[in-house]
Amino acid sequence: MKTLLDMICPCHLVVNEGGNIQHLGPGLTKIISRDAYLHEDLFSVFHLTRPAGLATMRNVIDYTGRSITMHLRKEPDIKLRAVAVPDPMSNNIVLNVGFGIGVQNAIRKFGLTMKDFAPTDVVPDLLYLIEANQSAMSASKRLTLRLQGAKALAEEQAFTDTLTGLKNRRAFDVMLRHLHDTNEAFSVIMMDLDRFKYVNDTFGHAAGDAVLCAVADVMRRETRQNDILVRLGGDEFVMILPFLVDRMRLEQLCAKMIAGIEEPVRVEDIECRISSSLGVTSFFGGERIEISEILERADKAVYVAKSSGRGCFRFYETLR
Amino acid sequence: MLGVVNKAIENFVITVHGGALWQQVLRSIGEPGLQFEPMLMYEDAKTYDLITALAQALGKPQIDLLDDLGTFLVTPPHGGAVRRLLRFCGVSFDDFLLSLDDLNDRVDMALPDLDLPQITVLPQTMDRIHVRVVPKWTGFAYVLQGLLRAMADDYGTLVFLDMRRDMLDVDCIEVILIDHNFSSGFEFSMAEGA
Repeated sequence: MKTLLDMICPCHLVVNEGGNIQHLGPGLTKIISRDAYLHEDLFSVFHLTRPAGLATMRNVIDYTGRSITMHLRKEPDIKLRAVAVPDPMSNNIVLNVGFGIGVQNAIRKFGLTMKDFAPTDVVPDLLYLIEANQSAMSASKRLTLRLQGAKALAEEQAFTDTLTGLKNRRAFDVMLRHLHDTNEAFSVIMMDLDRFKYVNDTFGHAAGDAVLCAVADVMRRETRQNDILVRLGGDEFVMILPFLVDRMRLEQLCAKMIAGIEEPVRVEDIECRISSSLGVTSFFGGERIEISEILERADKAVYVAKSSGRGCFRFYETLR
Repeated sequence: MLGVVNKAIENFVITVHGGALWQQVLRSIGEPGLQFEPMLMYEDAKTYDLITALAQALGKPQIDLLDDLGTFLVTPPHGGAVRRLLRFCGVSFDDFLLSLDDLNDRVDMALPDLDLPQITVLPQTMDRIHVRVVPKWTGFAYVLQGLLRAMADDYGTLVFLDMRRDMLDVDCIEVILIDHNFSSGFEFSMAEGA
């Protein structure tokens, strides 16, 4: 009988009617040493916590076949699940013990091996599943992380200003370099908004953003398909106009831009009014000029326009 | 084929033969700098191209290469996780061998998209067992052969493995168990990190 139980349920123990431990299955001897606990009292070794009131062997026998929660008094953290059944051949009671969902902890704590479980026990399969699941999960998690990294990189490498839909500074640098290297004629119009800070500070960021988008709309409306429209950041805009170096047409364009930007922008019931100062510089191709010099010229023209009373434009080439 | 297969080949080549050779192999299949994602799907042809290019680069027969790959898969430290998962299949090597019948179900539970070729265990006698591999992935039986050899070693069992063809010309590994307690094998603790 003992050998039979040792094989079918290695984690069992046999107690007599008085609660005295008579036998420990091979699985249990891993948890509590046979020498120390054989012939000890069941209730002094284990604390039977659920159901409440299992204080005597009589109570345990009455609870035959139902699930008992208990723990070793010296290992209160490891919950055990047990079922008690009286042995009809003797007056002993057999308690089979399992670990429930905390099995991984118990195995780690007590160094249990596959041999400590019956061949039919699903514990090894459960542990297999836990580990397989963890491996697959971590592979999926790594993939997600990599995809997130790729997305951030793509955003960083993007050429579009997300607020206005215009090109951003990255794109501007690339395109300006390209035009510079191809030696074609082109003009650059640098724009600085007037009174934008006032709108932003007084009516809030939402109003400020609406104004920036309105400026972008004016730029799109007044320019050609192939012109490069850029928001450099903040309220700084710039246009690159390939092949357009004709003074008259540039003046017309600047006037239209200023008029367009001066049209009031309604944000809910607020009317936002701004203007802009423009600086223009043209290159006729064949000149050896540094990219930084192009920007300096445009900046200088904007500065002069701004200090000439705002809402106007200046050409670098005619600055005195 | 699920990317985990290509990723395993990548890990194998980089660990055993070095990153330079791996890059050379990628270039020769027209995929310089490619990094395989274990959880994404790739064309089967990509995997075969890798194996062909790799065998060529190493000047080694493909079957030897696949055998080495199988061994690598379950040899710690790189193969530690797979080895652990396989050790849950049986207390001893014969147990493990017989449980290969369940391997497809086990793999399905862990990686439903992997769709491993069906493996069937055909015990001939107590000590002579045939492991039949459905011909779905060319050469997979050789990977399994390398893996079984390494697992036998892990359990401490001495075995003789022979690749055969059954009557339907299907790859079939003959496993002959010579000594069950040839060596003490390696410890297996059920709880990770115990």
